[in-house]
Amino acid sequence: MSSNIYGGDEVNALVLDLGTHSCKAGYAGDDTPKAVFPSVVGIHSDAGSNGMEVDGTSARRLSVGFQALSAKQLGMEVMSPFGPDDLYGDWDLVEAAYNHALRDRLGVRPEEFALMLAEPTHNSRASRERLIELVFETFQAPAMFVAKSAMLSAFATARQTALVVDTGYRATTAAAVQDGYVLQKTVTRTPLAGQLLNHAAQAVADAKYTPLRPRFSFKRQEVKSGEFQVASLDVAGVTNSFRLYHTEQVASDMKEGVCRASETRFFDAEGVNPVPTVVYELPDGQELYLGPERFRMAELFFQPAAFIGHFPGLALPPDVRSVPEAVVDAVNKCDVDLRKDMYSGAVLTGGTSLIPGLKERLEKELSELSPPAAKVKMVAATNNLERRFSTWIGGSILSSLGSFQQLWMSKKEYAEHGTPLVNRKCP
Amino acid sequence: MADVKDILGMSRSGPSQTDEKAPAPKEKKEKIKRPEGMSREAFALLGGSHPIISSQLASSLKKNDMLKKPKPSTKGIITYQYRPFINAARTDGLELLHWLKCSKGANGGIREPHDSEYPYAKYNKKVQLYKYNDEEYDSLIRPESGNWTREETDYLYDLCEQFDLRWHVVFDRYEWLGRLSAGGNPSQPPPLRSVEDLKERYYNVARKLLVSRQGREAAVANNTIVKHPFNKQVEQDRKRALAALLARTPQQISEEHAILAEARAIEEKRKAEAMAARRAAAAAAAAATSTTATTATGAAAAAAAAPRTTSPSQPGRPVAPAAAVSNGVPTAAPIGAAAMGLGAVAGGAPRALSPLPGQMSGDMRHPAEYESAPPPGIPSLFDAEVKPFKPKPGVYLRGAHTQAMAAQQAAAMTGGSRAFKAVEATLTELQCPAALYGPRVMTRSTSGAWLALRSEVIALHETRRNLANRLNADTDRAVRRPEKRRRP
Repeated sequence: MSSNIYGGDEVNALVLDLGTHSCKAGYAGDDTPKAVFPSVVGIHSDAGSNGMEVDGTSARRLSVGFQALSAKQLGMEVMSPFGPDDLYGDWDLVEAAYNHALRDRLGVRPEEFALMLAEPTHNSRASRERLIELVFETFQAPAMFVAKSAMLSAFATARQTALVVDTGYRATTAAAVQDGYVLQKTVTRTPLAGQLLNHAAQAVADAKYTPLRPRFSFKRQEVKSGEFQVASLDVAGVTNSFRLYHTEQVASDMKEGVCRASETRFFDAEGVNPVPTVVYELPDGQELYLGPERFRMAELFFQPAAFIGHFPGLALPPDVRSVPEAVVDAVNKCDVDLRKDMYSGAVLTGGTSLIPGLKERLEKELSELSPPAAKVKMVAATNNLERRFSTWIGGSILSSLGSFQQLWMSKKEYAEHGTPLVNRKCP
Repeated sequence: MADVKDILGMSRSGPSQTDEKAPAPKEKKEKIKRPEGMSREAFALLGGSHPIISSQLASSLKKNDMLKKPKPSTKGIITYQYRPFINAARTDGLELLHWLKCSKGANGGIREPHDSEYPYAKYNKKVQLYKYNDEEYDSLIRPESGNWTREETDYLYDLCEQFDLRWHVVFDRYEWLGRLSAGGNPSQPPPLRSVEDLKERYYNVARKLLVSRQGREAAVANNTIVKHPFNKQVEQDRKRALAALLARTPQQISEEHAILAEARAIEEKRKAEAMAARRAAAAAAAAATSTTATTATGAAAAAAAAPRTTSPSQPGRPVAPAAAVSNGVPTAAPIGAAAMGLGAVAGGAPRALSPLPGQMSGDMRHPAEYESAPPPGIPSLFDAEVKPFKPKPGVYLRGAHTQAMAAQQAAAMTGGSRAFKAVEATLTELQCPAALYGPRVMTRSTSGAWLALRSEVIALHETRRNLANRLNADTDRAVRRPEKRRRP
């Protein structure tokens, strides 16, 4: 400890980040989370006799994690713990997700570890208070801290002042972090994010070829060497949400393999941009030939109103702001003194930012929209994992700092002051 | 050895390889000494002809010396223990666990020294806030609070303490909704506070507290809060200016750059001229001391051509000598010489002359320059400023028109008729009746030349008058009027 010149002091703490796409959990001080699983929960609404988590009031059996969700399940609904405003909606599901992370994946007893939790950047006060209630009452943790995702992402890039652009699953959030505190009034969100791209990919496949088939609905058998035959399986009894969830997984794979952002504004006239066609093979063996569609999907981020028409079945609110516009909005809500620093210290994180070409395009659009006197510089981690887990990594860094140890909110303080204390201790 | 090399996959031709590799590495001797601690057989395996392995091995062996037994630490065997610790910066006695480097003596773990306190507790620094107590508030601060209530001020102080006076964050989290005032009446919702409002309130309060606590202004005069009090207006203006600065379009930015470049060029030019003038004046001073006035005229004439120094001196020696010079040349040109002679006959430091004579020397024109037959498009008449003048359509007599223009010039002179008398006097001194009354025959060239002559003499007198006024204002002692001095 005395020879640690970096100010680190690893304590017994866990970092939990329940995001809209996946939940990350691990030990403080590590550089990547040990457990990553989708943050959706499977719900069996029958009163299971040997159920793992029998919720007394509504008799639901909740299952979380890859294994629970992969196999074909009959009668299981798949729901996300997040509500329509992208804040924690169903607290039972939140609890189930945390439980799975702590007990099943990490195998620890929560009462022995301090918990560092990451919350959505636009989290409301009521939601926070409910969260710490959950942690202290249900999990009996000795100490905890809640930090906003944007703040942790900034720490992950070793900055205290930054403009964090988090392209996530449900929304892209732009927030200004000043001196380690998120400026709440500058948080700007736009729904152009991973989920939208998944739906767009699905629409492309559906329109051009055939509707995507979820993996559980067919079986591929090798008839001869190299040749496969696809046989449909009986899918009666599978709920709609389950099917949708798995179809979206296929679409997500396709998006990750194929989507690209063009370097300049993408003009959609036929024959203007000869775009090389790429072949993508679906799990059931079908091959999709995709050309301009690859660029059209990412172009939704920059010209949403113009390109939404290409994807039948997709809808966006009419006043939706493109991603560069949302970022500029966030900066303009800052004080004038801060704007220049925000532009030159922008940080791009989030899984969706891994689309090839997105960072350069975003930087370019930003320099066009921003005042010409401000130089725009965007920083993004080169490592795949660092971008996807930057919030978790920031939490790991923060909770293992020596000078952070005085900031935990302990059970004793909670018992004395109650839930409103969280707004004082965790700014 | 050949089979060993075969196993290791090395080439068989040993000596030839040595020849190739020897020049390539830095300064390597051909034969590599067997490092100590390595057995002969092991070194032979290497062959000595593979410098990469052996050199690294040799150096690393010297450093680490793997085969040597580790020296036992004086403290004992080093173990790491997972122990709870108490953080002195915390008030609730939370005990978390962390890894400690302990050393194990004969019987158990002994902790590292300096362990009694948590080393990171000393980083718990707080910003020093100047906080009031109740009496100070009532006596000092309440009277000048404006629309700030006690509760709101307390809330502000609370936030400042929480966020260590980070104003942008304080402003971001500031949510004062208006609480019940002491009397139980719901107060009106307070006005929306901007960052400057918050800063102003805090710094005003802090200033008053500082001053009152120390007793005298002098004691705290060095404190920044007192020395540079917060000025809300300045802050707001500055922010507005910054916003405007950021909002400039690229065209404006390039315009500004162009203007700045031009301004710089003009500055350079002025500086160069000043240098040249200084140098010439120094030469003139050197020359004037050694020659008589008249002979110096010519040299000094050039010197005075660009007069720039500011040493006030006797304003304009009499024009008489200059007039004497110009007697022989009764044309408009000597007026310029007169003006220059004015500067010349100083004998000593050149004088303070405004730029006007310099300009005049550039503006002087020979009567022949005023063409009798102007090119088409340029009007034939001249106005009071001796520029081509296009009158309303009608019939004009050149002579009458020119006399009218001359009268206009006289009227436009500052100082009125008295000043014009001096002009008349000068013109008379030229001993050329045409100078005063105008040429007998008014052609374009003569009328132009005459008007120009008059305007130059008028300008000369005006300059003298300006100079005289300035000297009168500068010096205390009464200075005789320059005109009187000029009359010998």
